[in-house]
Amino acid sequence: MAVIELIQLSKWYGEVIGLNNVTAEIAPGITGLLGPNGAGKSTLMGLATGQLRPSKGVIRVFDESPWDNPRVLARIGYCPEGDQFWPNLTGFQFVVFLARLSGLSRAAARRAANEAIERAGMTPHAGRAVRGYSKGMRQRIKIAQALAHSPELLILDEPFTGTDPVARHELTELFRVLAAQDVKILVSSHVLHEVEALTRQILMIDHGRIVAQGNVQAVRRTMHDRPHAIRVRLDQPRRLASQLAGWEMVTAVSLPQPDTILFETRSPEAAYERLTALILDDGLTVREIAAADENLEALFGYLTQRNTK
Amino acid sequence: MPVGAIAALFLFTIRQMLRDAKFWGVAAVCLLPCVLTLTIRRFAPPATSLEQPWTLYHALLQFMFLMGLLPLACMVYGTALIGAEAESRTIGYLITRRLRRRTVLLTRYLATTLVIAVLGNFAVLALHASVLTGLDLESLPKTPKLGEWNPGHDLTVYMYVAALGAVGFLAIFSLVGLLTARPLALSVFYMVVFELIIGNLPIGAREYSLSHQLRSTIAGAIPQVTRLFELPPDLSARLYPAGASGLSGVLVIACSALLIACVLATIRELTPTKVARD
Repeated sequence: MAVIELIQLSKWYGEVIGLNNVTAEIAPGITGLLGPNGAGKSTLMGLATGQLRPSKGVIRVFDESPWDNPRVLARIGYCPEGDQFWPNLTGFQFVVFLARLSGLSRAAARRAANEAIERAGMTPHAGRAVRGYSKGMRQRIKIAQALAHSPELLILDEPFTGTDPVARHELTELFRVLAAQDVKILVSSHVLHEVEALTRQILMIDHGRIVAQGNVQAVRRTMHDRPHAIRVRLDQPRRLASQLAGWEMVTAVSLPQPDTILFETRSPEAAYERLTALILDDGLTVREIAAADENLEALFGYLTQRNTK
Repeated sequence: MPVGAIAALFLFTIRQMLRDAKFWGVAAVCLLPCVLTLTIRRFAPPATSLEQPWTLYHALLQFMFLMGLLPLACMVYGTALIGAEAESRTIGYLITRRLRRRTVLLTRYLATTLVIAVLGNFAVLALHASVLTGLDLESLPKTPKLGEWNPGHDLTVYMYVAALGAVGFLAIFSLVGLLTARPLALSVFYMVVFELIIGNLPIGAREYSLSHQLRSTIAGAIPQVTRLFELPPDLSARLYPAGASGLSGVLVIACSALLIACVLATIRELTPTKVARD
């Protein structure tokens, strides 16, 4: 049975289209929701969590409308994309409060918060005010609050944004473990490889329409002839650039900014894996690793163009 | 009914208000009548009759505090009841949990009302103390207009009316906060046109104004306040209906406003459009 059903679902914001006549089913397991910024991913998640109302069509979560429906919402754990916090709270207070809003007693909420914080790797920082957290810590504490009440469905909006490679790896493992425990997960990203590391099942949207759905490999084949660009920001870019130049999977390397390397590869999974190992072995101080958006935008452009032909 | 979740939100709302610098700003503004009284007492010649402190006491409480500063405090918090959470994007956490939207609204309303009512009572108490401290009421000559003055009784009336005002004004401004994206402009318009003009005219529509209901409550409990200004007896009788209580009037207005606010909170998207479609 589908966890989320979208039936001719549309959402407009005045003249702007958020989702356009989308029909799809999201099955149990992990589903990756892919799309460039502004594609409609957050709109879909807003509809699935009952924050938004469909302009047309129907959305069902666990076979019911999620709008103002505590029965359904109690079964969902939602991690929003933006920095949405009450800044005076500590991480622990934040998670406990939201666990209590999910119906847990005070003692149960404290226990659940401790467990969720530990699973998200935030135990050492739980006593600090959220306003002092780094971007990565904020992501982790948001994930902790989504987990605390043991939901059956996790809806995660860009959970990897701002996280370093180690955190990304740990979170990916956490989501895999949760999925193995029968937690259904819908995770959005505008970075294909992040989702690929998690699941084979994807839903790609662009301009409010579904441009591809199903197995990621099938979608991947459509972009086989397109190189994947990866941006790395770090302290010693020349040292890394000289190493990357020697990799056969890398087709181009450039230094667009003094602290940034941009390289292209036709084997992104292998490149990310090798890059992570290299960073750990050489002790490089990396501030950011991200897929350069243009490449994925190009894929979406390509898919959209193909769909309209 | 998830009582634990409601209790958590109730306490959280109170804690959030008290931790915010805005609250202490509003508290300072509510103490302005007290500061004004102390300034007058410092620089004006000593009172020569009981009527002077009595007039200052009632005029400041009725017209500066109950019709000015208390609604202002309620405006600041009522319009932000849901709006502040929407602006900081935290509303998403509150409406994706086990609480219905109307429960979130009503819980936040009750918590805010409690805080504003306590603040209002504190401000009334401070004004009472600033007018009466060091004043020997027995030694001041009485006037035929005033007769006896029982400040203790008047204090309890004003504390009750301040709490009643918080109940009513917060309900109205909570509704305004859900009606429009620019609630302050509509709130100021409502205060000026409905509460300050229509509420003070001897016409039927004033029954729906909180200022009229609160004034009636005061007049019902402290008949001397009808003599606060030199008004013709028939006009005074119409403005201050003898023995009236505004309790039921305030409750009807507040419940009506909250009912509409609950319907709006249930049917309207509370997440700002820009955030939703990002």
